[in-house]
Amino acid sequence: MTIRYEEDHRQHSTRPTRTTVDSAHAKRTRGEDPAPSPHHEFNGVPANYREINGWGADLDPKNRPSFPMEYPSDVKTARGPVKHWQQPHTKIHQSNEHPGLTPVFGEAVPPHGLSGLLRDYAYQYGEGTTRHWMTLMLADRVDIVESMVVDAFRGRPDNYVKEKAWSAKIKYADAEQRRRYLYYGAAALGAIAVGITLSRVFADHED
Amino acid sequence: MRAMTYRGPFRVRVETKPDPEILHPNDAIVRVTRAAICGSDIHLYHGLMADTRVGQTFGHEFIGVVEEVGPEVDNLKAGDKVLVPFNVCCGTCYFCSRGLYGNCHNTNPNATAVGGIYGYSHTCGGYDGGQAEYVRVPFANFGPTIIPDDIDDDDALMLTDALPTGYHAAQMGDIQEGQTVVIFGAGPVGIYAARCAWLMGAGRVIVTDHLDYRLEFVSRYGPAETINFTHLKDPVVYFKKITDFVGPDVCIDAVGCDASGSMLQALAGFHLKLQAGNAVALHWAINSVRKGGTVVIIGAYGPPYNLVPIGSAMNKGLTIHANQAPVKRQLPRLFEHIRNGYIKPSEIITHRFPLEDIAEAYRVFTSKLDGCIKPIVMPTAA
Repeated sequence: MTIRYEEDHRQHSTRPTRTTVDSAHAKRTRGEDPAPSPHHEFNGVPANYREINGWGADLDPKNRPSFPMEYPSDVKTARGPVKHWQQPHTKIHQSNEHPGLTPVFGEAVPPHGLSGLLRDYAYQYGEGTTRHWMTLMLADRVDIVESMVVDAFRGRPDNYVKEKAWSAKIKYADAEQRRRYLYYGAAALGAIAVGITLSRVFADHED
Repeated sequence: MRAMTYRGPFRVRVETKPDPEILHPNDAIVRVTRAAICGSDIHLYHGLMADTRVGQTFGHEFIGVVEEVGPEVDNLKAGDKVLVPFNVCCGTCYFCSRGLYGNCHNTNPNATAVGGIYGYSHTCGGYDGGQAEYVRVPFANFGPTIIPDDIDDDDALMLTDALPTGYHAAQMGDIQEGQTVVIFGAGPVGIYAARCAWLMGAGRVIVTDHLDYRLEFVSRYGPAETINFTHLKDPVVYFKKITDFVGPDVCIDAVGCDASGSMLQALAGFHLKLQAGNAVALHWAINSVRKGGTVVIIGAYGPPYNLVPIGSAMNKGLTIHANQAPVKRQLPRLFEHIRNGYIKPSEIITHRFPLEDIAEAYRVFTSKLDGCIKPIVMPTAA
């Protein structure tokens, strides 16, 4: 005896009803799971899972390239053999859990301004500290404001509409989403109209 | 060159940047022919990863043509068509020599907790990524793989991250014959994990998400049983009930820090930034899995920490497996699976955008518009 539950709280009572069924795993192959939600779909899965194309191809662990996760190795040092080292062209921040710079690194965006100072501060602390990560998160926010100001002076101001691609929300919206936008738009226009009307009424009243 | 650049949360644009240069004898410069937007790029796009600097170019899934190689690169030449694994890895350090290519110690000065990753914040090494016309590829004598003639370019693109990551998730589940696997998230990695769970011999594969169109896709592509968790009062209780109150043998978190499904987690993670995003998928995975079962974390989380029931993990005797996928290790076997027709990776690609429209591509992907599952961008002609 197992219990059949109806899980869909939108359509059904949550009170359990009892019914007699076999094991869930035994029943599954016949598509008769004992407790499926009405939204639980089995349609794509064949009754016998062994019929699925490729089933069990990697059942033998020997066929699993990441099993076990580690290969045996004789390398005992963290860096291993290193022949060449990249030379930095800009300031590279470095975790204090590294003894020095790594043989290669990225130089995507050099630190700058106040955000750079915050990053300097953050990298004084280890990766296990909240101060390190939260200061970096703060620096990221400061960087956004700094870059907005700097780029505006350079003649490349931020274009929020284009950078956020708001037009895509309309261009790619389905019928339901467009209808929702229409309702929101109508509600916004209605609110504006009510606001204007009320302001005129009050203005007339004051006169 | 033209390249996507990050401007702040939910904002990207295309700018002209200097072409990349050879900075190390083992470097190569690759002209990008296809790049994909990964679900984990969305974590960056939402501003959830620390040390994501304005002006960085994202993109860790790309293929292209070798334009130039450094003097120490002897296995590639200009004109070779390559797929570039998302891990920047040397192949010789303590960790790479053990096959942990996602944990390379020689490519990320900014952190020891994670190896270098193309275009994935300065926390992952500060490399510019492949959503651009050209990209610098360090340790080119180890990472990039020449695309075999019988592998389609779109399939090759999916082999740079998404498919190896899904495959790695299924492997880390240590699935035994006939076991029940529940996958949280029907994004590209979750979809591939569902497909690959069968290859490992699963007996039942269930995928949950809140997007019906993605569940409909994975129900065919996996195939998989699907359930939209928004129709459930409590997904954890549900998964217990449909497994005879035992719980699934393996639960895979294929979502990471951008999950939906908990107002508290969203408030703490997205809005107050008191934790690394929304960890509700991992929370459900730990609570759903059977005692002694395995939880796989393949979704990306940023530092510093998340609200998850680690006490339950201990009390239930769980095994937790997690890692970035060592792509290079997976490729030979995945080439075989593609040739055998067991998996067709490119079938999940739903949208193609020119590089100049990449802001639109991010918007369509992140807002789940137009049935989008996997968008790719085309920086240059092949």
